[in-house]
Amino acid sequence: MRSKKDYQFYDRVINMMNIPFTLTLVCEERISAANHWIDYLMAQVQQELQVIDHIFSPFKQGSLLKKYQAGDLQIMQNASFHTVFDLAKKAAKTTTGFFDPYYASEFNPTGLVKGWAIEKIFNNLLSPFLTSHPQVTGISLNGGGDLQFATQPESSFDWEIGIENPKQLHSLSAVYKLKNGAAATSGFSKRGQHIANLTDHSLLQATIISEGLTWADIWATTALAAGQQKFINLLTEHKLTGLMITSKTIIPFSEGRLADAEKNTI
Amino acid sequence: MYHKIIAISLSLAIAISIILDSYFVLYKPLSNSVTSRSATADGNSSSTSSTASSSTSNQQNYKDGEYVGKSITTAWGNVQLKIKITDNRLTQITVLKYPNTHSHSVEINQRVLPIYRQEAVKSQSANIQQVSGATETWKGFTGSLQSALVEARQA
Repeated sequence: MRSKKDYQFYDRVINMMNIPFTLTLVCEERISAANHWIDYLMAQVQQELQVIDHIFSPFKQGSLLKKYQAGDLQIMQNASFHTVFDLAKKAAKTTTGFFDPYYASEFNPTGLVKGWAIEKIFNNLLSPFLTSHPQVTGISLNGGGDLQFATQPESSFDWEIGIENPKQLHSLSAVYKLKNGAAATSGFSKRGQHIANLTDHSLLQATIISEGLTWADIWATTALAAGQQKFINLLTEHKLTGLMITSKTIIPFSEGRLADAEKNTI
Repeated sequence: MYHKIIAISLSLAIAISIILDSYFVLYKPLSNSVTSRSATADGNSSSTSSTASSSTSNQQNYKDGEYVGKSITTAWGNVQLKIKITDNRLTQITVLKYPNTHSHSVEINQRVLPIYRQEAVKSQSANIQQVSGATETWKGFTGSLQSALVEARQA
């Protein structure tokens, strides 16, 4: 067994949309080309994010979103805008309205753009890069605590992902060991941002683990808006995996079933 | 955490096979109740635990010796046990075969659960490569865990 210390990590961080994006490459040994690869990839990621920001920024005058809000329906001809618009409608329907793409009666899909963008960049750029570079063991893109990650098939490497403790920010509430997928966490702090219809305050934080970050992010946001009891119904129905944190306890669930790890029920 | 669940699962599987074995090896030929009480599995590839059996009156003789049960297929892999009879009592159960918790049997379990969870795991003591958290805390990124991780790796 290879210990974690043997792996080489390469990181790059950029700030976009007031969010730090961390790109990480993992290799089994030091590779001189890795620094070149990650710089190249980070530049591509930055370019993609700039395009997305130009379309969806709720702050920047001249963004397509601003124009749409001002009544310019031509904007729908932009493929990305159309995709996100449809996705937001679908999210609202699937989550029975707990995910709300309207803020102050204006369409504002900010809550899902980040997850969608990371997943899209991951699938179009980072995943093909991993496939074509067998020397690279794993790759991950983390945008403000929501991440998509992958490892080479057959590799023994696991991403060990710490879930921040909402009450003590320099400690963790849980750790997951995963190879491929996405993890999104929603907390108190996201409420002002895109959980406008919050009525239930039972959850402090929710994490969703799934194949893609778009839906992981949508469901994490939904959990906080729905509150513990209503979200249990949704996670059962949609076979979700993740972690709810209340003021008293941590409740993991897997494929729609609550895990009472205290009793080790299986 | 994960290993604990696997261990519990295995004990359960083993307990079931013990009951089945007891039934086939002892109960059936004797037409007499022999109750095995408990069995536990530890991390060794061959673990032994003694079990007391309660016998009723009107006992028939059962030949002393060691008996190897059939390999039983469970959801976690094959389990095989050996039992020892002394003085007409079931005195020992040896686990001959059970799934290696470090390889395939772990992957059969598809459930994704945290490898551990606590109110506050000290980040320094956890071997992690990524942090998932709510956005607000990331605004002060210089103080965040993810930033600390990245810096620690560059050091």
